This record gives sequence, C-alpha cells and structure tokens, in this order.
Amino acid sequence: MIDTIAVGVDGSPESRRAFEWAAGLAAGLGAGLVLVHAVGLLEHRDDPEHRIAADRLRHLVAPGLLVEQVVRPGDPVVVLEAVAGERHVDLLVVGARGAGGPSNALLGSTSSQLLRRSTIPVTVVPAAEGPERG
Amino acid sequence: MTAELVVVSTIADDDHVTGAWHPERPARLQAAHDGLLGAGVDLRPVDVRDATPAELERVHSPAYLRGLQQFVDSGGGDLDPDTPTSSGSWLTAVRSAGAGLAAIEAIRLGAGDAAFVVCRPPGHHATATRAMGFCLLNNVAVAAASLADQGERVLVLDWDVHHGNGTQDIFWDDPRVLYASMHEWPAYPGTGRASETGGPGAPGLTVNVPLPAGATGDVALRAFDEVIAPAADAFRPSWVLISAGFDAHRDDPLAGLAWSAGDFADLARRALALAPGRVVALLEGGYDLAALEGSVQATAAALVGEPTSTEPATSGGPGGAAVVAAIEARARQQER
Repeated sequence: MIDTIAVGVDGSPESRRAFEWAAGLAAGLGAGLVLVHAVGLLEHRDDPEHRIAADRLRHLVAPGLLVEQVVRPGDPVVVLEAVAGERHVDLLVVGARGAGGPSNALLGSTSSQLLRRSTIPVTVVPAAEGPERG
Repeated sequence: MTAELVVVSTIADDDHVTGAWHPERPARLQAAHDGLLGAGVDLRPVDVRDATPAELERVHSPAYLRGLQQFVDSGGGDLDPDTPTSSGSWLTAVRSAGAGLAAIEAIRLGAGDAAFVVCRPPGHHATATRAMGFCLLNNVAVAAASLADQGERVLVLDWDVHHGNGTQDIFWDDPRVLYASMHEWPAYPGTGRASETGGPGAPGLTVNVPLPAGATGDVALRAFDEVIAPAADAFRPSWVLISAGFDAHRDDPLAGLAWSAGDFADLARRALALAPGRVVALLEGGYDLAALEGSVQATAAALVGEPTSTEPATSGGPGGAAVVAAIEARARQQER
C-alpha cells in the first residue's frame, strides 16, 4: 500500500520529470505527495525562491491531491532519508541525475546513493531522452 | 624554551580551481598564512607530501578514488551543485590529504610542539565513496586512519560550523577513533543529531553537539567541557586532530553561529590539554577572509600556549538547551 510518496526537487529538468511522474502516480493511487527540496551550501536557506519554486510545482498537480512541501538545508540523500522517516513515506522518487551531477557512475549521484542506502523502495525516473537504441 | 608550531601548507601546489564566485577559493590559503605569520609564534615550516594510494584507501574505496581521478583527469566539472573540480583538483586533493600526514611525521621527529595544516579543498564532508560539500578526499580521516593503524587512539575534534558527516561515517564503527563535533543545526549536510552516537563496534565514540543559529563561544565551551571533554577523558586519546573550520565565526557568509577568533583560541587551549605535544589542526571551512585570518592567528597562538590579542571571546547567545540535550543523549547512550 502506497499512502505517501516523496519526490526530490532541485530545479533541474531531471527532477521536474521525476515530479511529474510522482504526481501522476500519487493521483492514480490517491496517495499524498511530499515535495522535498534540500538546500545546498551555496544556496541561501531562507531564500523565498525555494518556496516559490515548490509552489509552482504544487499548482501543477491534479486538484484534490494532497501535497506538502519540505525545504530544508542539507544533502539531498540525508534530507530525503530524514523526511522519509518523519512522514512515513512509502516510496521515494528522484530524477536520474540532479543538477550538476557527473556522468561518472562511480562517483555516486543522489539516486545511486539512495538505491544503496534506502530502507524503502526508490524509483529513479530516467532523463527524457535516453540513449539511442540500435 | 618557547614552544614551536609546525606548519605544513599546500599553497605552493594549489591547482584546485572552483571559479571566481565560489567561497571555497585559493585566497583562503593566503589568509590562513597571514594569520599564522601574525600570530607571533615560532613557526617551523615543513615540506608537504602526497598521500600514497594505500594511505587514501584506508578511508576511501578504490572504486571511488579511481572514479574521482578519472573524472578530474578528463577535465573535471561539478560533482554536485556545491562541489566543482578542475583539471588540477586530483593532485591538489592528494597533496592536501598528505599534508596532515607530513605534520604528524614532523611532530614525531620533534620538529615542533603542535601543528597547523593549511590545505584545500577541505575534507570532512567526503565519505568513503562520495565527494560533497566542497570536499573531495577526507584529509583529517586519512591522518586519523594512519595514526590508528599505528596503534594510536585518535580524537577528531571537529569545530567547523558544518557537521563532518564524512568523518563520522568513516569512523562510525571504529573503536580506535573518537569523533566529536560541534556544529550549527539545522544546517548542511543535515547529519549530526545528538542521538548519533556511534555504531555497535564503537558505542559512544561519536559525539555530536548541534547548536542553534546565534550560539556564541560560551555555549561552545560549555559543549566542550560538559559533553566532549568527558567523552575524551574516558577515551584517553594519544593524538588530537582538529577539523579546524572557521566558518562558525560571526562574520562568515555561509552560516549562522556567532563565535569570534577568541573563542577558537579557547577551544584550541582545551584541545591542547587533552594530548599535549600531539595536536594537529587541519584547515576545513571558513569563507570570510578577514575572519579566517584572525581566527587562524588566535588558534595558532593558542596551540603553542601563547596569549592572543585578537577578538575577545563571545557570550550571551542561545544554545544552553542544546548542550543539555547533548548531555542527556550521551547519558542515554551510556545506559544502553
């Protein structure tokens, strides 16, 4: 049973795609959706832009969908794990590559760290344009 | 006889380019040098050296080290939104990781009574498998692991304003290392709750005192005296390595604690008392250049027992309840 879905949002196209996928799933299941924005070292914690950005996404979801937003300083992996525990989240959703991440898989993106550490299911939403298939 | 301070610096080899806008920038090293020169103490410069692959692999996975080197060698780029690299970042990071080792070797040879390591990039956020928060290789962890492998008992005292999640993670279950941190909370990276006290193999050997924004130096000293010092007394460290970030200074642009240079000096004196003759401070954060210079100056003087004439210590800020909560968390851990 999936009652609550949390999705990592950071302003990147990948996280926007993860949000759209998570919102569609939440609407279909009647689950609540938590938008989680982890504020990095170089962002101002109290910057109203964080809330405005989250609000923009919030208004895109289907009417009646229960949406909450969490804006908190921290590393995305740490914040997503903490929010998952606090809000009894059943599913974490992230984009395949957040803002500025390297393509080198050995270095551990947010998604690969979550896949390794999370104690609840994680869905990684791939980038819009995948590799060409031959 | 006057005490002497060993200085190891990576300033001559610094080729980690983060961009003009980035607060973790090369000018920080010069500010730290200016602080050391202004401290009025006997400085003993010692040559830096690179950390060897075996020394790095004590704390980082071979796959991570290989991936990082390949990424940087192919031109670098952003590892995350906070952590840029350039083509010279690998060699600079390897040298920074070796700087602490050089300082330890110099002290062992009797070159001085304490050491200050001027290096960048900082290290305490880097985990065994991941770069983050401006950090590539965990400099203090490489030094602590080297000492631990030689039979030493190491206290890593982390007074950077941000919690050293990487160092905590690396030594979470290691009974040879006591990791103790004071840091702002809530803040990046989001770890460092008082309830985080170590793994089953090292119960109570992680000590965290999260402090609210605005906390002043008197609160930090109380946290040291009432939480960290009792843990250190029980652990009996043979070496103390300080993750010496100076971003808890009230002028720092990235954080909200309200310490002064004098507060860092008070903390350094206390650290010195825990392992006289066996204390190494390694630069971590600190992004206001004037605050960094003054704080390094005060710390350097304190590390060799000299008085300091920089800013007086601070008091009157919030945080008493946070210290009490940390005392209680430690008591709960000891009951288990």
